[in-house]
Amino acid sequence: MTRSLPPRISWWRLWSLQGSFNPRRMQALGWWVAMAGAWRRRGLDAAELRERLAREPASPNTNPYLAGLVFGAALRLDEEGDADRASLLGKALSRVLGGIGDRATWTGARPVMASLAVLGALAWSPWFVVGVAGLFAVAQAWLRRRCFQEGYRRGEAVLELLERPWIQRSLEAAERLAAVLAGAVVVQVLWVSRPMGAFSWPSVAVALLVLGVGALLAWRRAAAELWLVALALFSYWRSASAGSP
Amino acid sequence: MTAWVAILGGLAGVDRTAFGQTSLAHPFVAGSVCGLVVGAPLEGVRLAVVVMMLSAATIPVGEARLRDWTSAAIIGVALGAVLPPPGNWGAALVWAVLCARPAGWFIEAARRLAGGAMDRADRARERGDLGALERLHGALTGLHLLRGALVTLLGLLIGRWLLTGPVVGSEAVARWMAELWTLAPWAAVPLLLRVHVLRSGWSWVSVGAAGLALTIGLVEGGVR
Repeated sequence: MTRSLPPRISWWRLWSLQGSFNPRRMQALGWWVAMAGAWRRRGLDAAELRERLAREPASPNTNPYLAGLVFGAALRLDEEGDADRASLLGKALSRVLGGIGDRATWTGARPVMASLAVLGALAWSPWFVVGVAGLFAVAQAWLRRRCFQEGYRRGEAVLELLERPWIQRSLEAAERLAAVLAGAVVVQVLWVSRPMGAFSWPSVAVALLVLGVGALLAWRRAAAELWLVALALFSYWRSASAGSP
Repeated sequence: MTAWVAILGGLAGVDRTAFGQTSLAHPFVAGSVCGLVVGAPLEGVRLAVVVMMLSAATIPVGEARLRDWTSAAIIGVALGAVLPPPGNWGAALVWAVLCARPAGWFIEAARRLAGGAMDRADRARERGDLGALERLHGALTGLHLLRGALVTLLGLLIGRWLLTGPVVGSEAVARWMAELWTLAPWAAVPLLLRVHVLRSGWSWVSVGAAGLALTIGLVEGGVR
């Protein structure tokens, strides 16, 4: 059974879920602060607060964009007086949401956003970046609110939502879109960085050599500092050769 | 200008994980916005793209050796705007890459500090003191604002102090840094390619590359 009216939750509590993140307790303090607003509004007495705070958080660590699902569901169960179920549900949701959310964020949404920003900035204006980032900010704010509302409405049934096949298909589609846009970014970056002036085979050879060395380092998973050393050495050789009589 | 850069560093620092995650902390966004702030929008975008490609391979979830590419991008762009040409942007890029790991130490330190504060949180839980928990959480969140601003400021000031002399005083160094700046995007592109090829395969990357190459060809051909 779903409820239609989720309680009002201060947006800053969800947005700051990771504010005190640490390796020892992860998001625990952020979780209690997020719940604190709801507990205060319900007028819980000191004994009830101590009883709730004595429990470990239902969700010790999860993706911050989707955390509203856990938070809403756990809040709903807490209001129904079943803190144990809230804890079990939170742990199950955390793991699932962590996997889905991190994949959606780091291999989908953020690379797509960044690639669009790069393409627009290089083709038109650097202000394009502000526009794209602004849209992303609004979209993630909407997503967080929606997740909380759905989590509260569905309660335990929110787990069924996460098992639907369209979620995996969406994740794969986002990764492919990110790959397509990355290909476009590569071409555009190379185009705007091409050697200027008259065409010459030596310039092309140098550019391809640099590309090759970069590829070798990339595929060997070299650290950024090693990449810098290789680039610096190559640049030094080039500048010294150009400067010698 | 330095104050605005420090403010940007603080906001991006807190946006990175502590509050918001609105994308301001993405290295490309942070660096490009810094370029707009310091009056070097095009060079800022170019430096930010290179830093973005360097950071593409890392997913900051459970990283062993944390690098703060956000602060690195801001420091690089701000430094490039204050160093004298012609080698300024190459030197700024070098400094940005070198700053990424030390800047990550500050994040690790802030997290260790937060871990140490959990005993205080536990005592507040035992008392049922929500206000104390909220104040502690707020202070730890604010710590990231301070961290971001401080790291950016230190990176910019130390970089300026260290690099102005070599870049200004030596024509050879300036030429070297200018050459590095020219070649950096070509060297960084494979880093971005690798991430997406391994994840989604060559076909999808090729579709995007071919599509834009065709578009550029048509536009350039039409212009001529």
